[in-house]
Amino acid sequence: MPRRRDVLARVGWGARLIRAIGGATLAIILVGGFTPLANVLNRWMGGPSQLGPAEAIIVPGRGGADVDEVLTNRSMRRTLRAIGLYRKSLAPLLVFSGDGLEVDARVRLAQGLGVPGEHIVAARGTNTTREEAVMLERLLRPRGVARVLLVADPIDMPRTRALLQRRGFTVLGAPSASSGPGDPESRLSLLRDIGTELFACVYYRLRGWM
Amino acid sequence: MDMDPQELLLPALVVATSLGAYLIGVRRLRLPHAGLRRAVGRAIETLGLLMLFGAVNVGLGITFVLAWRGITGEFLSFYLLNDAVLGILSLLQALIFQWWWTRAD
Repeated sequence: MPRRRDVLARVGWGARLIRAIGGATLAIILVGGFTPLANVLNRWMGGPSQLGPAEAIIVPGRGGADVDEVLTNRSMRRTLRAIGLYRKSLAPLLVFSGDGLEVDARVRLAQGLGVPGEHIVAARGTNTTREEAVMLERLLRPRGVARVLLVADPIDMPRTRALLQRRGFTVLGAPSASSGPGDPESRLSLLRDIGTELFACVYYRLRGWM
Repeated sequence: MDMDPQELLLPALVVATSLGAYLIGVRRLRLPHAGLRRAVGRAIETLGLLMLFGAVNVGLGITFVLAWRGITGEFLSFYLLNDAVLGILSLLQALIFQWWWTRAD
């Protein structure tokens, strides 16, 4: 009988813990979906916009391209923002990195919008942010590029910026979509992405990459 | 950054239908009030189980991705795990476990 009571006590303690986790989850869903928390975190991670002259505009990969070779929403936003900055003559070079399909789709889009091919650098074949930073250093150093304008989603800014700075670049931030979404579902999705990115930052720190 | 008043529509809908369900439960089905509190507790437990199953699934997924990269040398993205479908499947696991647990009480 005492043994059975022990088991029940353990189950009761476990149930309380599970309820606590459930309550915290419910609170996160309500606060994350119906308050601007995700947007505030998003803007904080992006940091200030530092639009100024640079030697290259770097656009890291984000989400790749669909099977029909059309850029995903976020990738498209970054690309269009970068093309806009190029047209404002903030830098003479437009650099796209990421997997092959994404980079090719971006190059086609940029050329279609009037950016000359000789002003585009395609950093194809990279799968991770770290690989992108390595390849960007290899491609841009010989061209004498040291000061870059980084166009990325706000949540991707801290890790990408840190990796590029570690490779010796001076990085000016140009976050895209910095105000964040305006509906509960998208805010929760953003909150999930923020969690994923924070995990990635921890992983990179543990590996000594940033 | 101010909240759009239109966003109150969703919570208002949920409050209205919850009130309707409560009235049906009490008046038509003659369900006891005490059971409602227990049901809320169970629902919160299910959310907790969802998070636990989600965390274990993601943790196992990370281990698999790292092992795959280490063993094969091929790239496998962590972002494969950042998929809403995994959340839905974790919810299913939580519901099944919850029902199993409830029946055992």
